[in-house]
Amino acid sequence: MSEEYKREHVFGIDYGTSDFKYGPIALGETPEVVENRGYFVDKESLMSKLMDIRREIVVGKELPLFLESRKSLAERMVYPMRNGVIEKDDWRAWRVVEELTKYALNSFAPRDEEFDGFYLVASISMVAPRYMYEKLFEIFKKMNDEKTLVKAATIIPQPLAVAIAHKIPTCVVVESGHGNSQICPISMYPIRDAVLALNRGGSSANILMAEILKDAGYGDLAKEENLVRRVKEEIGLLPRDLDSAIDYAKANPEKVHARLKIPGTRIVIDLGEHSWTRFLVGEYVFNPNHGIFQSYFTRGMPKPSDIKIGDTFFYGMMDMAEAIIESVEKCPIELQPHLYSKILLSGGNFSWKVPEDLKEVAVTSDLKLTSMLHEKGIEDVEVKITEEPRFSVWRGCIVYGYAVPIDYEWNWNRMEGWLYLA
Amino acid sequence: MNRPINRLRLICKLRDRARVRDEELLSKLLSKNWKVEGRIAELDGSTVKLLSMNPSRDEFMLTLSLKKPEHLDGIIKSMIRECWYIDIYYNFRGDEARRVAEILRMGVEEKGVFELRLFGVNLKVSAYPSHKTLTVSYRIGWAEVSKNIVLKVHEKLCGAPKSSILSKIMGWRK
Repeated sequence: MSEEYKREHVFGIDYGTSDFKYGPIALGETPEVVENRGYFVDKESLMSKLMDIRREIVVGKELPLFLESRKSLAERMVYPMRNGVIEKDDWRAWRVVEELTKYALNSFAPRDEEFDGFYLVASISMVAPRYMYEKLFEIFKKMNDEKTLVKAATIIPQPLAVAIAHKIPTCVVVESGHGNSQICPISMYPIRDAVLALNRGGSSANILMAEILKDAGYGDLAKEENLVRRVKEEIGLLPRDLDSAIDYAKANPEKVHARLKIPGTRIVIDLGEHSWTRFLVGEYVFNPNHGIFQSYFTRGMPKPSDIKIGDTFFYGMMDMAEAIIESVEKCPIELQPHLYSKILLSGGNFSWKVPEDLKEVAVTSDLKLTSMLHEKGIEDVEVKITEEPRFSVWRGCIVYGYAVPIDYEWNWNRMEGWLYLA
Repeated sequence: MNRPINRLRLICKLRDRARVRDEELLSKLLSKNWKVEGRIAELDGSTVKLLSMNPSRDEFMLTLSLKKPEHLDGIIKSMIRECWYIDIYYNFRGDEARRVAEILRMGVEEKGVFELRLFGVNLKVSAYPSHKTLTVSYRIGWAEVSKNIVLKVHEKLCGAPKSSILSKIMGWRK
């Protein structure tokens, strides 16, 4: 097997908390994306038998075609990577991971005789415990049961993939996905002792968005998670300073008025006099400690709690700048200025839109974080949003797979190299 | 063709190991009119980005976003002097994939890898119908570059600019 074969068949998978990004090197800059979820079909139901549905789990683009009632949605839909870590014995979650992996590899596996499996680079959360690596390698091996899909595999943490994609050896990567946010200082390798995790991500903003929709009279729609997410992405804003943004919104209601038509449906969402709340959505991700959020907590919205998953502690309410400072301060003092001078923001949770006429009060994630860090006395800061933040982990997987030589075999101590499976 | 063609990758095999740092490679290989800043070079809205160099430092991967087809020709012509060969990869999605499949007179509905000959080079075409994706790749060396094949293939796949003399001579239509 040659280097040339490998470079034609590198395959990247980013097991994000919400989205599953996948595809071979040939896809260029943009991977395929499906939601990281699986639906367990009720095989005992009469309809399943009548329609001859033999599958136990449905994943991928056709999943919506199999959905049943809202009640069964909650029971049968499994999001395996919700917080980046899968419990060892959560068999349903592992089955979804297996099915998604097979779905991804099968859809791109060439039929030609020369094909002898992909060089698969998978990326998972920085806080994923060792058993997740072991379990994933088991799944990758299983992919070869029917035909060879995986020649060799390797697994890298998501923040490292981001650093690789940008070729920055010394930096802090803040990877904020759907379920949580990871703050990882990197100096050639991730500094594991300094990694800090927040129990806050895009899903937290979705929860708040749902509350805002309820307040605006759309309580029925607020139960549809996908719709809420879409509304958040379309109308949510990140304020430069929350108080000033709210004042501005109240003084200029026509400028911040939020109205959204959901394509393909008759649904129109108009926040009307509640349009100022658009600014709360972004702020909540960066700093949920503002007094204004208290009213939502009082009315029953769950507060992001501190939790421990595996060996990792996820902070609920720590603001993002504070989390970066705490993480950097666990690194050698000599290194700290270099880390502050390259902070990379990656993950879909940093893609906030700034409408042209709201530039005065709405900002992008890099500007927000820069100003939050300045407020806390950190001067020489350079914060940069990665190009297409949703895809930077996948791109890092591809670059890593291209660069790691075929004879560099997996080493459990260093957690790098290729593990040959076929 | 006014919108940039940005689904293009090059893998370049050097004749010798690169003796310069990664950040200096593009300035060494590209012509002087490109403005190079480390791993990224820019010219009239087109960009070239160095994605990775292999550990033996004799091969590297570039990603391109092109405003003008002649920029690709220029890049290839200046790089091939230092390279044994360059592999060019195109990725097309959705309607673009369908359009290119029609141009190549093949079906996009059938999954598989196909080989065909165009302007004297062997194109490898991979079709992924479930993702409405088509990738096209081919290898060129000095011989192909000297026959201007890169520009011909590029314009065939991506469409020729309206003002292109070549397209008028060849009678191609978008």
